[in-house]
Amino acid sequence: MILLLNPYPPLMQWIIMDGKNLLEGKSKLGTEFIYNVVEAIGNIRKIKGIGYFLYNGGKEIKSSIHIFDSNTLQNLKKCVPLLPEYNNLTYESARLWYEKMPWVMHVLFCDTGFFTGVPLEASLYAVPKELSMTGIRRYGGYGIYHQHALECAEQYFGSSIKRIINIYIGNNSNIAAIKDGIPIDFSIGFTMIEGIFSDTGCGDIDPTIIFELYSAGMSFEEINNLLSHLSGFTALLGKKTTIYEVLENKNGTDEAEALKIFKYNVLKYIGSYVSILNGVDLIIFISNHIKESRELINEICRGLNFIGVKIITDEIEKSNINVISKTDSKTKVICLNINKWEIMNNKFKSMLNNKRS
Amino acid sequence: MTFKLFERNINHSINVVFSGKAHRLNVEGDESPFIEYFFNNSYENEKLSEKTHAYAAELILKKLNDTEIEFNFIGHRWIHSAGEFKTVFINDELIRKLHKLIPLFPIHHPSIISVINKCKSLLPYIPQYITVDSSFHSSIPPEAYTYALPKNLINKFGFRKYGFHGLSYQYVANKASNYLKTPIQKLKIIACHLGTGGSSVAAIKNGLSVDTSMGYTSLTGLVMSTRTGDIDPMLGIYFMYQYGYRPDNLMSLLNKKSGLLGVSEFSSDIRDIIKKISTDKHAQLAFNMYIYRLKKFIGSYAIILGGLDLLIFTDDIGINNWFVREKVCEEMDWCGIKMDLQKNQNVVMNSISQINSTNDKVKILIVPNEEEFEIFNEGVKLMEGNQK
Repeated sequence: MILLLNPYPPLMQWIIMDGKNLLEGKSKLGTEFIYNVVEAIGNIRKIKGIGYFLYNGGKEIKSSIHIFDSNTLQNLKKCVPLLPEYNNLTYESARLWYEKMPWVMHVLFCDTGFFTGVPLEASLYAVPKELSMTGIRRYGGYGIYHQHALECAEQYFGSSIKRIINIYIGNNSNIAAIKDGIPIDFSIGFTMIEGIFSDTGCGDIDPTIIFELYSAGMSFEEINNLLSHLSGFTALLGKKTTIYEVLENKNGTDEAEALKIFKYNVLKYIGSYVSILNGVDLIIFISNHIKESRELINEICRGLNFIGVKIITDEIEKSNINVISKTDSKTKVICLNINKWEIMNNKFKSMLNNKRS
Repeated sequence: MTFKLFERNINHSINVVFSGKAHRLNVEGDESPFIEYFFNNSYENEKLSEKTHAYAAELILKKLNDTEIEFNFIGHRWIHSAGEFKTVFINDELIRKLHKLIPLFPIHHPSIISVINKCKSLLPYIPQYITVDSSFHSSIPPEAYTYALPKNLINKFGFRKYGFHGLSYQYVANKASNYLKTPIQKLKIIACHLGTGGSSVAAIKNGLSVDTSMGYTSLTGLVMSTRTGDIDPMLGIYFMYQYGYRPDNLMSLLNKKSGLLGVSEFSSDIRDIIKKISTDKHAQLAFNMYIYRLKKFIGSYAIILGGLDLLIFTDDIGINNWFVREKVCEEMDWCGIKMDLQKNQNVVMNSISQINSTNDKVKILIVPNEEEFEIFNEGVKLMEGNQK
């Protein structure tokens, strides 16, 4: 049995994977947390490993998957200021469970770890030393998904594929460029706000806007809330929504307009990555809802005609990986269905197996 | 700051009788500011004891007076009016409006107002007008200009992409089309306006701007001399909230101390940076970031244009810096860009040069821009309208 913990401010979401069964809940930090989990599974000794999801590992946590050692908690604490709301939950729950159950394997799943080594020209902002020395840089995000997609592609095609662009379609869509198996750029920046706009996040905007809103009398909290929770698809439609709701009603006027802007932004990012890769061999669309995203994926691919992308638009979903490019397409295109918990669970299982053998 | 005095003859032919450029105004670097003058087939230059635009304007008007060249109108480039006006005469009411538009372009707008005021105080009887640079980008479609922000805020504040360097793009796109003897409607163009201050890229289709790298203000897009270009907008909140920065201080850091200057830590001038590229790792990083960002924009625009026919380099760095051009075009054959390295290094100054390898699909042109000519043109239209 493996316990997976995911920050869900102000609570901590927990998932217990036991074979195919899945138990789920949300708890406050503290002894109540342990009590809730014990109540769900009966005996705490059934837990063989605990995995913690960390949204931003900064400069401290340098890989996607990190097995706890004596320094981990200390390093984790240093990451808290980068994303206090989320990282503090990860840190505090790690402290709680590590102390309570030191005999099991504890693993950090760090969503920025995959991107640690990207070249400086992609990871730094062109700001003065005074600002850059505070540790701000582009850390990226969704590294667990992007690394998983790369591993799937390597299994499927072998490592002959040199230039890959990953496109995650979901509540916080984002894109990454991979060259020779190593990520070289990505659309998420210091925070999740940079890049493609999300369900409620504004994506790339002119930062001057923040200063204007501030001088017009808005507080930091209000601006933060506006850009993080009231923008993106929600702002374009004028009501709280998600990309999946928008896709479901794609023929509505506002929905169609919002998707047009979304698709345009995605294409610009793809173009910029094709440019720095000097071409692209494989495009991977990643989603928790590939089927629902399929028409959008087709639309995006239509915008890539010029670089020789040809797809089969009505390819029926057979498995988690589906090749949708035609055989004469210069660039291969695949769709990859994913589930965060499955990825974490599978990783964990193989680590536990390695430990035994 | 550049300046040109145009003379329109009775037969409508036009010649430039006096021109020049004031260099390194408000620039941090090793060398001091100076003005170059070209007139009567001669060349002069003078050093400036102050590096303000108003002082440079005063010297230029003095030189015109000394050389006894007369003129009837003064036209200024205004950067950005949020769509309020395009080409208009200057009066006190307009100056009051211009003051309100300073935040839209905090680097140039105060300088322009200072030059307007200087001209007004020295030559109160000469009519002055402005023409607005961002007008060329009014054809950008909603999917490119929309920020995903609540509509009430967009409407209240006018938040959207406006774009800049419009006069330059308008001029070079038309010049290039004439040079290639191809109607502009048949060209998919990416134009790089690489200046010593601001730089941007534009995608042009059917002769119209369809996207450009600068946004609501000139802060976004490419890495520039002292501006960051694109950054995570949340950094604004982060530094004010976590480190107690005052908004105007932070704005000033992002606009005036960032970009090449911020990364290199010694100069905002790419020429200085290139000189130290092999010995100074900050210089190398600043240069790499500059090129990298530009290549990304060219890629974005090639995709949204659905292909590329013509790549244009213009403005100071675009025209004069072969090394920048060479690095930008390196490993860009995915979209058909292939440069003739020899041609690129041996271009004739002050004329259009074609620097792509022979027979390549994508033409690469260096087109010296003449924004002053577009200002003159707009001015002539204004005067003619006024006479009617």
